[in-house]
Formats: sequence, structure tokens, C-alpha cells
Amino acid sequence: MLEFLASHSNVVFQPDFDDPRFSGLNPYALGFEMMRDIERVVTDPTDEDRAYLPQIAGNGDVMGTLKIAWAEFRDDSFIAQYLSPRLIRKLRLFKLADRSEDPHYRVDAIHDERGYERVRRALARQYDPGHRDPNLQVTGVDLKGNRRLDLTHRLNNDVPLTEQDALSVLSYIADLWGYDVLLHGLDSDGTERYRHEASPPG
Amino acid sequence: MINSNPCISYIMEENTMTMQALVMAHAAFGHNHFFKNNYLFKEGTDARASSTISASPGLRFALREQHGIAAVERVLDGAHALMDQGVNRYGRRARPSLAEEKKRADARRAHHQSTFNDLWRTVPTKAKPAATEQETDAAFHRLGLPEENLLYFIEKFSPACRTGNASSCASCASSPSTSTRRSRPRS
Repeated sequence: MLEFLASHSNVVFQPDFDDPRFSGLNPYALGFEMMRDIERVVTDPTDEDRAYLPQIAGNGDVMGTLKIAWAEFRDDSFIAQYLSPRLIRKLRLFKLADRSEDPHYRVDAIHDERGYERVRRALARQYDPGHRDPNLQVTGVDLKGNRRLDLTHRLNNDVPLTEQDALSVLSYIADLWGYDVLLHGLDSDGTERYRHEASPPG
Repeated sequence: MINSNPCISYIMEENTMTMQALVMAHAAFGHNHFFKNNYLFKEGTDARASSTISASPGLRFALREQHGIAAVERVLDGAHALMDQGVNRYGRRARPSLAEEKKRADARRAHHQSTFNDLWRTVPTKAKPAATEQETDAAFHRLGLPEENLLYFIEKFSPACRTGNASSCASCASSPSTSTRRSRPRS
């Protein structure tokens, strides 16, 4: 039993933001907390829960509610649907806005009525593949000439790829392709923001 | 953990009994529950297909005889790096059947006949694009560009695969597709 507890606690452990082990939210921790919170809302709801989660608050059917949550949602919609204000307070979540034109961070959402909504939406968006995954496409290939493969990355919110990671993946692509690969990043108005190249090894 | 029917879960022999139960509960039951019941897996994956890949004779042959472990591993590493670029996020319209196509062609012809006006013949037209431009367009069309599924594109069109360059593309020649491509009609 102790071994089980130790292993379980390690998996759902969430280090604080100033902890050297911190690397963002632990998805196991967040998921486990949310499912426990759903259980609480279903069996013992407060007035706040009834206002925020009227569709499940106090319905008494924990397993049935969880089964729907597992079957009908993906990461981002699950958070958008079920993250309760009480859990936002418990995990001490708030929202920082980091804009490129702004020299400072701004605290954008706190624990008030409007803040809960913003935190929930911002956190859900972090798990939305449409925002998280880079939009990379093959846009050209010179099959008769030097056989270079052209890839285009359309930047989301003008955020470029981490250079080191992009170069590593690009060298894998060059290896599979067998010839040079060019990746260029275009921002929303179509101007080129960066350009990386890779050649196959040897 | 492989999303197949029945699902396959690899667990370490050396685990204690507790860990074994925990891993089974987590991987075999937890993940598998999602594979079977979550709407995205229901729509996007086919449990019948994936059970055969690891046991495929083609892959084993490629590993042992044809290319050697190092070359196959290199390809698998590359394919893993492109994991998130091996997905078709945006579906295309279904290809019309022959009957549908004929119906459409008939409708188009009927429309042409009903709106025929000989005056259009006298209107000057734009010059046709240069031959090279047409050729490039045709090549782009043939390759299906732009293409979001990088793994699929490499599998189909990589020159390294086509020339049988064993050092850089081991698995394409004999083993099943490494990309997670869903069946997608091409026009």
C-alpha cells in the first residue's frame, strides 16, 4: 500500500512555480484534481458550483458524469467545461499577459467573477492543438533540380519556433528526405520572420 | 501501450506486484478506456490496424536482414520527431463516385446549353499562362501541395526512398506505412 501511495504521489506531484523542478502544470496533477473536483461538485455542491456548473452540480452520479467527461471531450474542452472557481483558487491559478509590445508582465485575471472565466479560457487554450501545434506545411519541392524541400511555418500570434528544437527536427527531416530542407516562418501578414536550413548528414 | 483490439500493454517483468497492478490499471485500463470510448479516438483511429504493425514480417525482415537495426532505428527516430506533423488535421472533401461525376458533368453541359450565347466567342480572352507555369502548377497538383502531413509526404515522395538509399530510408521499401495517415481521397 505504501508503495502504491508513493508512486501515485510522485505522478500527481505539482511543484510550485519557484521550485527548480517546476516545468509548467503537471497534466496528471491537473487531471486528477479536476476529476476529484467533479466528484465533489456532483455529490456535495456549493452555491457557487451550482452557478458555474449547473449541468452536473448535485446530480449524484459520479461515475456517469465522469464517463461523459472522458468520452465526449478533449483536453481543452474538458478544462473549458469543468474547471471550477474553487479549483482555480485551490491551485492558485491566475493569468499573466506577456505582450511583445509591452515591457512588463500584466496580471490579467485574478480570483473574481470575470477572472475565473479568463483563467479557464486561457488555460484551455494552452491545451488546444490548434494553438499549441505549429502550422507546418510542405509548400514546395524542386524534384527536377536540387531536390530541396520547402516547408512553411505560419506563425501563430507571431511566436517563432525555439531555434534549437527547430534545427534538430529539421535535421531529422533532411535525413528522411535525403536532400536539403528549408524552413521559413511567415507571420500573419506574410512577411518572413526567420529561415532555417538543414542538410542530410554525411 | 498499443491501441489495438485486444489492446497490448508492455510491462516490465522486474516490477513488484504493486507496481504491476498500478501500471495495468493506468496503462491497460485507463488509456484503453480512452481509446475505446473517447470520441476523438473513435473517429480517428482503427483498433484493427495497429495490432499488426509490431509483429509485421516486413518490419522484422527490414530490421534483421535488409537494412540492419541502426538504419531502421534512424528512420524511426526521424518519424518520431515528426509525430505531431504526421496528422491530417483538415479533412478534404470525399472523391465523387463515377455515377456522381457523370451526373455533375451532365448538369454542367445542360447549364452550358441553356445559357449559350454566341457573343461570348467575340470577347477577347486573357493570354494563356506560360508553359513552364502550367507545368509547375501540374507538378504541385500531382504532389498535393500544400501538404500538412509531413510524414505522409516524405513517405510518398522522398527521393531518398525512391532511389532505395538504404542508409537514409530503410523502412519505406518493405514495411507498412509509418505515418498515421487516415485514408484520404486524392483528387
